[in-house]
Amino acid sequence: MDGEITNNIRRLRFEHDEMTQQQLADAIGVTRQTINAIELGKYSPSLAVAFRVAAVFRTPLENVFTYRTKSKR
Amino acid sequence: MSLREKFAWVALITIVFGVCTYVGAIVLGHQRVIGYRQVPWTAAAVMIAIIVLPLAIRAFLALRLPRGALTAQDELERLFELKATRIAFFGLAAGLVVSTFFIIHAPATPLDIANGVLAITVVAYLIKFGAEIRYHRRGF
Repeated sequence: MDGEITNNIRRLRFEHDEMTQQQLADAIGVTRQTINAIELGKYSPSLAVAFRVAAVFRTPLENVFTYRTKSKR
Repeated sequence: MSLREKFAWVALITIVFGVCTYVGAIVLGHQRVIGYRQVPWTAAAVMIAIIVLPLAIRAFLALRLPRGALTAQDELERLFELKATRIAFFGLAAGLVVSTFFIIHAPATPLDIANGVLAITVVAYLIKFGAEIRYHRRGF
């Protein structure tokens, strides 16, 4: 089953005092480039990083990442 | 540009510089501008430069960008490195097949074989660092 993972990191950053990508990266221990790749949907992070992102925003994981299945025609 | 991408650039440029110097020494040796006896010494100097120069530049960059240096390689950077190494492996395997063909079908001296092995290794490393830089540039 094909699907894609989308995220609300950009929105959540702005809701948290316009947190920069660098600040988020420092908080979870990755590089700013990794945060950028995740935000743009180019890279799906590991579960550990996904949980750390959710923990930084103090929100459940499903509010940060969403899995959408592509409907088959 | 992340610190790991800078490291990959340093490695790539150093290898290109080293190879150019080594090939230049061989060409000058052929043209008898320098004696053949100087070629192994040049090769040794290039090898040392390839090892020492990147270390010095990396230390300099780490001192200039301490935050990047103190951050451990993250999962995406590790993935880039693994994918780049995988691509380089195919280059290495292809080079071995080509060199085996030449060793069997063309007269090769031990020096030719040594240079061939060196060339294959260098090309594999160039592919590795080139692919790593490309992944960093593209973001994935």
